[in-house]
Amino acid sequence: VSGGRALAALRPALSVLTIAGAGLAVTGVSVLGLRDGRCFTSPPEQVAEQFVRKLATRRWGPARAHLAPEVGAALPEEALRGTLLAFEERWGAIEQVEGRTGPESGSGAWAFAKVTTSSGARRTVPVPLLRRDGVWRVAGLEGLTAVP
Amino acid sequence: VSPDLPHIAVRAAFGYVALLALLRVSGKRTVAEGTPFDFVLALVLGDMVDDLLWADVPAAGFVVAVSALTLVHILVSWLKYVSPRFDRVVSGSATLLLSSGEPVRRGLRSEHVAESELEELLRLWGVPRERWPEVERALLETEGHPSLVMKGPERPAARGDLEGRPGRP
Repeated sequence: VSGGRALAALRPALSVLTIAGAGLAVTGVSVLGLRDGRCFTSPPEQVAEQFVRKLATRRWGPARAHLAPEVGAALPEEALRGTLLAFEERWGAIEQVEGRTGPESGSGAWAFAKVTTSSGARRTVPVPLLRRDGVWRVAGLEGLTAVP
Repeated sequence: VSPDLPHIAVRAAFGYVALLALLRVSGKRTVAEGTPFDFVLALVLGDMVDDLLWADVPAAGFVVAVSALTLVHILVSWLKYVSPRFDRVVSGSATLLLSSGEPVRRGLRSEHVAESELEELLRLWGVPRERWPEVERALLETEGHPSLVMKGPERPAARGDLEGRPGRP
């Protein structure tokens, strides 16, 4: 392949990289510079819903990816499994999850996951969240263990 | 009114602009006249927009995923362009469905085309069953479209047809 042809073929790839760079710059400025926590990043209720849904379907790895780094280090897969089993023994298997907004202040927030279980129970699970590197992360499982 | 509506609007506009720009540089084939894989890629990109719209993924994740897919697509298209062998491996080759007016069973079987479907494909080309003997070859191209090669018009042999041919007595 001649240099000219290789360069011509490279041009679309460079254009893609330029577009990707521009897109990342826009989101970076919005999330990190303007402290946007809802538009270009998943809002707390969305993170809470996804976290509980992944827990309910026993996808421990993807569920742990939602945890804040300092929390994730202290919560291995066994801890997630134990918490879910305790919840299921009490209320039944989680069948539906819907995220709801909660109070938000600075780099902390609460969101609620409204769950419907196999026993027909409807419970609201409070989920604490922390903002880490512009992304909302789950800060603990106490909401799941202390469901009224 | 949900306080999230303006965010949905901004995310939709962002996704629209990003996809428009990326599809523009990836070439026209992704949507029109593409291979089945081009079509699948367009569907995957559409699903990614859905995730962005409802904030299932952060916008940065959307940008990285869509750009990476587009880059790989451009790379594969380029490799297909420079290497016919790679093109055959990735895109496959046209399948012969009809030869000299006769259905080719092997081709029909490999593409899961019933003879009634072949009839339909050829009818779309204006060739009903009774005109099949006029067809030299009917192929199913890699894009899924049929193509036809009709037999040339027959005429009696004329003096001069063999002039200049090697081995002329």
